[in-house]
Amino acid sequence: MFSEEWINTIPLSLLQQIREHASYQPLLQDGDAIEQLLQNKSKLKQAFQHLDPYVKQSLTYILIYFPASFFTIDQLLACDIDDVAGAELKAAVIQLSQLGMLYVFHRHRQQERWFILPQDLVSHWFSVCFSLEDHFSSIAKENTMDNDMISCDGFMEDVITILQFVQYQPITLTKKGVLPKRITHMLQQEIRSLDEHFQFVKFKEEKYASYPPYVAVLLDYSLRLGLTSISDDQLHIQPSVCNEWLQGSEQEHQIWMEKFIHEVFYPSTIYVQHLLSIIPLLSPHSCYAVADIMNQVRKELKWKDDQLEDEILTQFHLRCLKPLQALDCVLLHYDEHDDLYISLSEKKRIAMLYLQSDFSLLKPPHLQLDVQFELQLMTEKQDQQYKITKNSVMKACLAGRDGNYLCSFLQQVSKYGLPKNVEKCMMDWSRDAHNTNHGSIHTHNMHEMTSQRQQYQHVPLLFSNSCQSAEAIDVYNYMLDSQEINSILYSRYKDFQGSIEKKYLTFDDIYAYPHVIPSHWMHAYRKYHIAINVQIIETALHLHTYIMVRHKDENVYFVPKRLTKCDQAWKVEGNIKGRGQLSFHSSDWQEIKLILPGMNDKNK
Amino acid sequence: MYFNDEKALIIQEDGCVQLEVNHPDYEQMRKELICFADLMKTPEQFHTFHITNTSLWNAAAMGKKAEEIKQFLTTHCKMKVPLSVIQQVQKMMHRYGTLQINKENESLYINADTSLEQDWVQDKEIRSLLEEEIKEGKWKLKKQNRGILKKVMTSKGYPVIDKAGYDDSEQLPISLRDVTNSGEMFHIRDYQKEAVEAFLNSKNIFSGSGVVHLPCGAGKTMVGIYAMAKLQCEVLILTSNKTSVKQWKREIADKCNISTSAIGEYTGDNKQIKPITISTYQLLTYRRDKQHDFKHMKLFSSRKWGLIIYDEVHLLPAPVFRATADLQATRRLGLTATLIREDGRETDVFSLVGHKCYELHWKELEAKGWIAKVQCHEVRIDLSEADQKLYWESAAKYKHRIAGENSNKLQYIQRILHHHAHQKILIIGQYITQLEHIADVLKAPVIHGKSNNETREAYYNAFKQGKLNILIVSKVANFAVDLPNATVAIQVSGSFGSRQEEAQRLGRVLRPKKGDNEAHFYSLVSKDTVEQENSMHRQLFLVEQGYTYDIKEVSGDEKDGMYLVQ
Repeated sequence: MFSEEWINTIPLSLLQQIREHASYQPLLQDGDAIEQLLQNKSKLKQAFQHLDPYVKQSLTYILIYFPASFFTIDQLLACDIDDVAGAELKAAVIQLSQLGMLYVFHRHRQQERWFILPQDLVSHWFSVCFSLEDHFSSIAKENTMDNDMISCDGFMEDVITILQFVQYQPITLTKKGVLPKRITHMLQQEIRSLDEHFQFVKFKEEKYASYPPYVAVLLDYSLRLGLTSISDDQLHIQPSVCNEWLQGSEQEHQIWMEKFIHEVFYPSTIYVQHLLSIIPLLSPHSCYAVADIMNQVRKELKWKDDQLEDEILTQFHLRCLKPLQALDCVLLHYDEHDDLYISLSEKKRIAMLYLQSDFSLLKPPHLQLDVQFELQLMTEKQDQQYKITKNSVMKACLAGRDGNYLCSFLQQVSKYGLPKNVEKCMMDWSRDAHNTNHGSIHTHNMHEMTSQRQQYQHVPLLFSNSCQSAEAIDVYNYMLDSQEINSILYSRYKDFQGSIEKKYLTFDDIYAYPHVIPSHWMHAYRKYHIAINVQIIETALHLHTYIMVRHKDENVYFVPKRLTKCDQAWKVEGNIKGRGQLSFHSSDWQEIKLILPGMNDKNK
Repeated sequence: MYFNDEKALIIQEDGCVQLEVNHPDYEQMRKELICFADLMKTPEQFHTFHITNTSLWNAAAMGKKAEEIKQFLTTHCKMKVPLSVIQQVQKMMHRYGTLQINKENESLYINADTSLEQDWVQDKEIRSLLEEEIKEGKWKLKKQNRGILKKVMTSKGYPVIDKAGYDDSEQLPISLRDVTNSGEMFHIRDYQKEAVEAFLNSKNIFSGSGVVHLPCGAGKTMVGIYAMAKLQCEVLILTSNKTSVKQWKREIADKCNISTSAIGEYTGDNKQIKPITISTYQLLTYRRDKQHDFKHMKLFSSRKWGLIIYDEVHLLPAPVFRATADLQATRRLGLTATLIREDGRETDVFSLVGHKCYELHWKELEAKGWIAKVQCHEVRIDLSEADQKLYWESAAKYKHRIAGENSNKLQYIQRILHHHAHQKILIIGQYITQLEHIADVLKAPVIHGKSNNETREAYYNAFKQGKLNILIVSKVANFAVDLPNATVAIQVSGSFGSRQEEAQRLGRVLRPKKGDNEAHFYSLVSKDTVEQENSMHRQLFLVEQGYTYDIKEVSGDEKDGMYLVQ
């Protein structure tokens, strides 16, 4: 879940409690929203500095073991963590949830609480906790070569192709609920051939496996974003959402894409998740060796399965990088030894193209999407070039444009204006389009229609810039319960049936029955009878917490691991925090105090 | 930054390089690009170059390094250079010089650099053209396969340097006159010299064979004549029609110190085979029926030609293609203004006659004043009422003709004639009945396919000598007709969407003019008809060369004709 959605979903009272947390007071200036603070890496760093050391440590373990996955406290406790006591982990989870840094979900039937780091903050946290990006060595992009199989911005072009395909009228699905094969085949002809990049996509239902993977990805993207929808066994266009999407800012598009990736392409292997989380931290101006990134991450995050290195790299390449490349999020490069490099794709969009008197159009790689949409609508792609043809102008007219609109649009976006001969022809053709018998016009979009004129009348202004949405549009119609999404591809949280916890968690939520613990165990540092000592240690073991004891005239924090009876006496084994293993015999026990992190650990 | 508009180039994956004309470094970029890429088209804002295997091999032959090209492209490209282009540059330039055809004791061998991978040998088609492997990296080549092997290997991306040379030919002393027979000073223009030097350049991979691309009116005949003078050998000249044969003969006699008895015409009327022989494609490809041979093809072997000139090489018919494949031991020079073929066989011309070795673009020559500055006008005219009815009732296949013969066109022809009174005007059309009707109304002579050669020559001469102001011609005058004093051309109908025809017709008024060096080209089309649609396609080549059409629409009842020109 992304932070903005979560904040918009939780009760205001809970949000207020988070805002009022003491740690935030120095950081939140008047009027600042909590999500703004969390999205700001330097403020996030400051907030991190204010955390208790064990909370910091716990957060790093959460990042290592559950970077963007739901987990329960039991699952966290079961992880191989030596230097943080279980109760500290629990307390850290509570504290992080109180700060809105960890989201809490409730599964009522199982009476379980599940936690997850905000997906959009995972990379930020990796940066704050590990400063990984400082360790990567980069090389100049010029010293590598691109993989040309993918042209820049092709994904958005293909999405637009799909939208333009559907725009004239809804496409009726087959009885199975999928697009007819003929339509799928026609779609495939119009888009790039990238099935190989998506060979590992999983389909939500078996019936969708008939789709070529890349067609499925495009359809799924348009469905998840609400650009299209399925109802009454038809695939419909959602014009107002489309308009919003076309005019979305670079940042919005990035968020929508990140959500899509998190839902559909997030890898299941934890180490691959680490690598994927690192990508947004890379500098957009540099190029990084993928093997180097992996080595650094392995070192910093203390990966254990060294022998799986090649497998992880392969998984990362095939399951993450290739789809990301096809989605235009990253560029892959190779050096002369065929080693793989990665760089971030440029996001800055341009609203300018070059139109020539021979009717050809040249465009920069990242054209503003609304301009790209119009361009695709009024041109035909021939080899590497866009060309204005009679057919393409007619197609644009069928979509509700007229000659004046087309010409003024081109005049506006063309660096050298609109050549007179092109203007004249476009005006003639658009006039023809309005005068002529529509039945004689053929474009690829004209499928399954009763008559062209009927089609034209139905959608006279679809997507045009003058068509503004009357209501606020939630472009990414994201729902936690993915069953409700008309998606085609498998959603990551498909099986998660939980709801957002609306309660502000406290330490009472992790220490069951704290009132049964005698308060002097926690507040007095003193000697007890051996039987009481055993009870205190048993309580510490039960609560996965630690005790303060005297050892060699020094007060130490001891985390008990095992309590055993030997020769009428008791022996407890465990470790002193930060110093290694130690065992105490009952004769060694002197002053003792039970520590519950979050409750009585502040003076330790 | 990923896209930098301040740079000059856009490079596409297919090797097309677009150079922004308004860029301050345009001139410098152009000079660099032309060294390793072919200039394809020159519309106003971006000039398109194409990096081809051949252009890279020629660059390699001239000493250019792959790294220099790569550096140039990456430095000046608005965005990142596609990998496929970089790979092509590296791969093709690396291959240059690794394969050679050599002659040893009258046998031909192909020698390969053994330090490199010999993957081409695995190709079945190439294998079938070789005779036997002599040793590693050396194969004997069947002599008759020399041309076809080069064609196949070139098409598969393996440049073969043919060092077997050309057959010995009969020598023919030819020198150029300083003063022509007609008493005018004569000298070869610089670009004509450059064209011949490029053709003969021994560093060029296809040295001694190639196609020279010059606009109509730029003096391609002079390029041929200069090549003859350089090579001093017997020459066979093939051209498109008898008028052109006569022009060649006249020009050679006029510009060269050579006896007219050494120049022969090999045409339907006159079958002379002389040291310089001029014939037509039509005659060479004549045969009684499909069962018979092309009996005039023997002309190729009738003498030891040192040079064959293919005038208007874009018209090369298929049988001549085949014959040309066997002529690899003879130098071949192709001349053209418009190497565009609607049958898409341009590449066959390159591989059999030779690659483009020199090109000058239309607007470039215009800027230097070597050809006239032509204003192009498209005048869209309503169909007459009668034609309109006929047009809409007719089947699609007749519509183009009905639109072409639109009777309303006549009054606009008269208005244009009135506007350009006292100028030399050509009226060019497709349909004889239309042309004859115009001729009747205007009382002007008409030349078409049925006109005999004497009549044609008489009218052409009268026009050139200023005795005629208006000459009406059919498509017979599309090519190779030299009417230097024509300043206005009116195209009244044409052959569907032929880009070549449009360019060639415009070419009729391109010869430099005295005074302001200006000319006008009018294309009359029927408004809202297929002719208007075809017209756009016809104009494409010229638009790509940087010409712009001033489009005017006129209705049937318009009385004022002055709108036609500014």
